[in-house]
Amino acid sequence: MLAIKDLSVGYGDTKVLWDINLEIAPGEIVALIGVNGAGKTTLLKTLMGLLPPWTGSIRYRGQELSRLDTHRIVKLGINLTPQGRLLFTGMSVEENLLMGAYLRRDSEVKHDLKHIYDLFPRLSERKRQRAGTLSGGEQQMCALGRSLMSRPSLLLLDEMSLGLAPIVVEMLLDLVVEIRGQGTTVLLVEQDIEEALLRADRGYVLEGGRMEMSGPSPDLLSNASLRVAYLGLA
Amino acid sequence: MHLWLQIILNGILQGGILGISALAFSLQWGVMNLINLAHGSFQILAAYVAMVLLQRLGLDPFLAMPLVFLIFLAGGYLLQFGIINRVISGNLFMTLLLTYGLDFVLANFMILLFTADYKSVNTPYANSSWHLLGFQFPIVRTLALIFLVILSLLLWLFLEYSRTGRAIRATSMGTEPARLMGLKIPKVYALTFGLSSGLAAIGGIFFGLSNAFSPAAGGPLTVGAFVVTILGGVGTSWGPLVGGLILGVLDAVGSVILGPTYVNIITFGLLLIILILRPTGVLGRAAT
Repeated sequence: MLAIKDLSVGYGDTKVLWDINLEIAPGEIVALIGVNGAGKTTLLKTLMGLLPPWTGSIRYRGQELSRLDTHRIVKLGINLTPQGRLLFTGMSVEENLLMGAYLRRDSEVKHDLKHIYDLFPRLSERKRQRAGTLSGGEQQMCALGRSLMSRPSLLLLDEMSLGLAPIVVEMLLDLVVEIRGQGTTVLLVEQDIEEALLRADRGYVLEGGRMEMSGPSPDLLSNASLRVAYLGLA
Repeated sequence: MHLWLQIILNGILQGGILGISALAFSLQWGVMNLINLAHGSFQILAAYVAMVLLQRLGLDPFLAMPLVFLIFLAGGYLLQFGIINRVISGNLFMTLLLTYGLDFVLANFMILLFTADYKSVNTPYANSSWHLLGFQFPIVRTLALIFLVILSLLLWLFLEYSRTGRAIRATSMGTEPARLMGLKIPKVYALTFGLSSGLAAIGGIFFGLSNAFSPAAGGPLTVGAFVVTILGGVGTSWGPLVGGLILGVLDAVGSVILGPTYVNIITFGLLLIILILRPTGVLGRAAT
């Protein structure tokens, strides 16, 4: 579904990603793991057309993405729930959700809105409230709901768990599995590698801008060097 | 007592013209972080257009208003899309420099076409007034205030409830998330600048109906819009109304007490006080 080949990206003169290769098959949950500064967010921004790639290609369903504008990429069915959520803080929860469906012209937007409120009753209670006044967990629900309102085929999730209580993280990640069950492919970017790999089919490990490791989740979870580096376990 | 009430009334009515001007200025500033130094010259240009339409075609300025609005909407759209968008994401200094240059070009273009002499839009009702309860209501200024209330309401409804208006607000809150929703920021900006240019043109027609003007009159209009915007709060739909009324009344009262020569002391003194005490404006929210 998505195939990234030999991708290099940077800011200004500084190269941040070196020769990245990554593939995602339809219906998969793929985890992308790495510490702060490894280049995970840079990779997602490049996928969304927010950063121009230096070299390499990004193909999505056979179409080259690397020179497309962000709005075209969104139109193709790829959606990013950005790190830090980036909600429209001065707008109500409902307006934020409707912004997610901005490109849609079909008649089922209302129906999907109700579906989001069923998934997140907390958002339903606060739909008229300004998004900036929500708690961190609620904001993350709103950001995820906003992405889902676009009916993405490929959903990119950047650090959903950041700064949230473990119980909220569990709930959101379980929901990701449910979303996949409904036909959405997911690229899950996380620092919380155990939680991520427990739910992903496969994983990639990004270190210092290079893809250091990849494989099925169980293999990565039992990999000794990963366990030492990320979980502090021998 | 009656005299003072009339003076205050004059100030309130003057607030209409100030407010319409600020409605446009504040929209550009609030959505695009653009301080448009050519704003006043846009308005003077609209006043000249209304004057020409009246003199050559006998078209009343109020009937010409929708046409002038559309011309400026289209012109503003193209100007933003073709030129201003190229520097808008740079630092504030670049957009100040560009709009300063634009102001220069516009002002000299108007001198070329209309000479530097003072002109006016001469309608039969330009200097007439309505009388009510012993007070004088200059027709043009009274209509300007009514227009300001209606335009503020329409702008608010548009921004709050239309799909495009929501896109404009979303963009004002963050271009990156707006892009991630699939918005084309250059188009949103062009539309915003077009809309505010149209509003500026309406303000310019009212100004031309109630004042003599020359190509050099744009500068003070820009400063007025700046002060009113700061007073009311940047990027609020009702701020220009509030700011316009405050500045209008203070100018009117001040020019009687201090003499009309010193009225700028009030304008700028007020600006200073507001920036120190409440930099977000009367209606503005903290940290936008």
